[in-house]
Amino acid sequence: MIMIIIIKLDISLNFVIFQKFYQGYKMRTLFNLKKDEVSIIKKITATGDLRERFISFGITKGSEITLKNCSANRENLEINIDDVYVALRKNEAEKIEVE
Amino acid sequence: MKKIAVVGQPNVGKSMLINSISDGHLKVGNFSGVTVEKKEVLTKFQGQDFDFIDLPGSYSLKDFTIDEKVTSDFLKNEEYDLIVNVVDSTHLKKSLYLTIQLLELNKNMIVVLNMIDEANKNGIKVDSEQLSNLLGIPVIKVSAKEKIGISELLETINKTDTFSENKIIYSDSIEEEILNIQTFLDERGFKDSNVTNRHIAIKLLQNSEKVISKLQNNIFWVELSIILKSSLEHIYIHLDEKNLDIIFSEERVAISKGLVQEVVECQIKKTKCLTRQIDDVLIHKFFGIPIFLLLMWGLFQLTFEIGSIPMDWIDSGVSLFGNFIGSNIGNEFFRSLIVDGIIAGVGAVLLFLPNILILFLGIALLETTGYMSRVAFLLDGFFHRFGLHGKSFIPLVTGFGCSIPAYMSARTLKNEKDRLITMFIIGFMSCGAKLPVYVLFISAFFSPENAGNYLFAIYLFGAIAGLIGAKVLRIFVFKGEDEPFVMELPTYRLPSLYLLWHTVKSQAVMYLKKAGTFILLASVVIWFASNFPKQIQNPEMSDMEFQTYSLENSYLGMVGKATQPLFAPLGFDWKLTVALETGISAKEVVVATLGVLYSLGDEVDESSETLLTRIQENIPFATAVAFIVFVMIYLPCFAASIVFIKESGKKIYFLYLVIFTTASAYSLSFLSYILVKAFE
Repeated sequence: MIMIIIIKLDISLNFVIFQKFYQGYKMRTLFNLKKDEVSIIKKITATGDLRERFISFGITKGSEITLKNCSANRENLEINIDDVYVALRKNEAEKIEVE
Repeated sequence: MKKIAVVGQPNVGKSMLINSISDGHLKVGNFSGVTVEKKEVLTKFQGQDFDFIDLPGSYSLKDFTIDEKVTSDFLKNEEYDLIVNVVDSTHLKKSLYLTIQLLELNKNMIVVLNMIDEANKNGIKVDSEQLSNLLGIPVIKVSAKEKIGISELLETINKTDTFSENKIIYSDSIEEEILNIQTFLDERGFKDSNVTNRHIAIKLLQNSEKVISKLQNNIFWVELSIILKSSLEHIYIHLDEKNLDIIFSEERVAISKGLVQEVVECQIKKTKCLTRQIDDVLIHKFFGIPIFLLLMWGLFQLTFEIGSIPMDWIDSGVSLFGNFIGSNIGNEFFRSLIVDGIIAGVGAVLLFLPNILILFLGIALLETTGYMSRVAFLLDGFFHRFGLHGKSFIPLVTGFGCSIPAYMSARTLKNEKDRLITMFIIGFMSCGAKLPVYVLFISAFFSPENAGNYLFAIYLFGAIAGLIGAKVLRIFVFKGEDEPFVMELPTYRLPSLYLLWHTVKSQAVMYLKKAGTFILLASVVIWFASNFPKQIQNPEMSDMEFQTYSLENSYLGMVGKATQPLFAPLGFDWKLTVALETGISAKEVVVATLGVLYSLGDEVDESSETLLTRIQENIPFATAVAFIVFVMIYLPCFAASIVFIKESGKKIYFLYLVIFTTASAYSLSFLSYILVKAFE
């Protein structure tokens, strides 16, 4: 009985770890870029108004994006897209997936 | 008369353009939110009247903020003859996004390539003729700053009468469906008197309610709706996206990309390093915030140090002038009215004109250079913790000048709760009219070497109290989700001297006007209320005792004495109490009241000629500190209250504001009174 529970626990735990690892591996967002690193936008997960705001700044799939600056604890980031400098918060940056 | 809507994204120089056209009196800044409401400027060109309407800057016609709603509502619902779309030649791709959206409105339109001088300097060559051909509307190169191309623009405005359909071409999959629907409409012989069938087809694909409801009554609607449905399905499959708004937004980006490729030639590789170099320092991870605080500290030092030089002259000038006038008027009643009422009251306010001008100059510099948005970026993380938004910084700093434009510029905040919290704490940012009170008390109680520091400390204390207030409001009153923070950091620009001069001049004129009208009237009222009813001199009293006696029994004295018990725990005497009460009309009146009250009675000796020394001799230190704190936080003035009610949208919010500010002012003032007393 106990064995079964332990095994079950082990499996589910492994699954959780795997899932986390898998996600971390798969998704690389703007937030993960290094300073002055250039990358291409792969996907934007934002919806609604925010998505449209991104688009109006030229933040669209396939555009080249550079992380220019970030504040002390990476709470805010400054990016460059087509020579336009835009400030974002961490939450927003995580909605922009890059290559 | 021609009605011209001037539209553009923030920081493209719309207001500056209208300024150059008309020599108008618009405020120009380098961050989003300077034009907080649409403004009109009338001008004449070759006998034709032009009515320019300066609309708030919008990145797109999507109503993201209240500002942008003003713009899109105007463009969609009001009558006008022409749209002048101002674009930034140095950032053409971003600017054209709005241009394409505007073209979809199907109105007469002209594109103005502004800042063409800057583009040339950066090696960006724009082929305006080619752009004009591609868009199908006139395109004019202009530099509002250097006044290049202005007359050409006016001439084109004058000439543009007939409407020409724009020539935007969407991507193949969409164009195919447009053609489908257009052909169907043509076949059925459908014709609208105003717009082409192509335009109707585009609007149908964008699911425009207006067009759909217009066509719904037609006999062919059943067939059309089937075609439309399959067209949309094709588009969804082709573009792998089901949101029409996003599909067309991305189309616009693609179109502007294509346009830029055809008309822009970049000769020199990006030379905009200067902005980058400055930003490497100014928004540095660790030094950014200290540099900002240092700059603010410097501003308050200057406000005090430079402002205090002419202050001494004005102060002694006013008392000399008063004595001179006084000695030339025989009638005691008029002598007292003019010298003790008008000259003392207005003089006390005039004293601070230099300080106010320096402060406004500083704020104008912050606004016009583009530094303001950097500070919003720097402070967002910090502000966020207090339940505020980085953009709140803009109205808050404007609040150091005057609360009225500050309440209005809070419109740049999209989220209603963020906006309300910001508006509630704008009062904590001491406005220019409170500056006289601070300067007066600091000059009276502290050594001049440290005066600037104390001034800075007062403003800082107010700001910190405001942040704490914001947190309290966020936790208890305005709970809710955060607004995303997405903000452009514009290129740094040197402000034009003309503009700075203009700002300072108009502030000076406004302040003097206020001193000459409102403050003058208030001084007369206060003088009257402090001199009547007339008392009869008891022969046993000395002249001095009698003066004190009659002041205490005047109307003003009665009001002050009746309400003084309320403020007794803070150590205020009845004069300070009255000054606070009259200050609700306008904050300058606090000083004017003190000027009148202290010039009438309680003259300690003959040497106390000026207001400063009288304050020093009559008010204990702890009381002075408590008074400063109270003035710092309590109710906004009458004019600001009205704007607050209008901007907040609900009258009940004003009641909250009254309770919130009074409670904070009273408790903090009491606290500081106790603390200072304990350490004295």
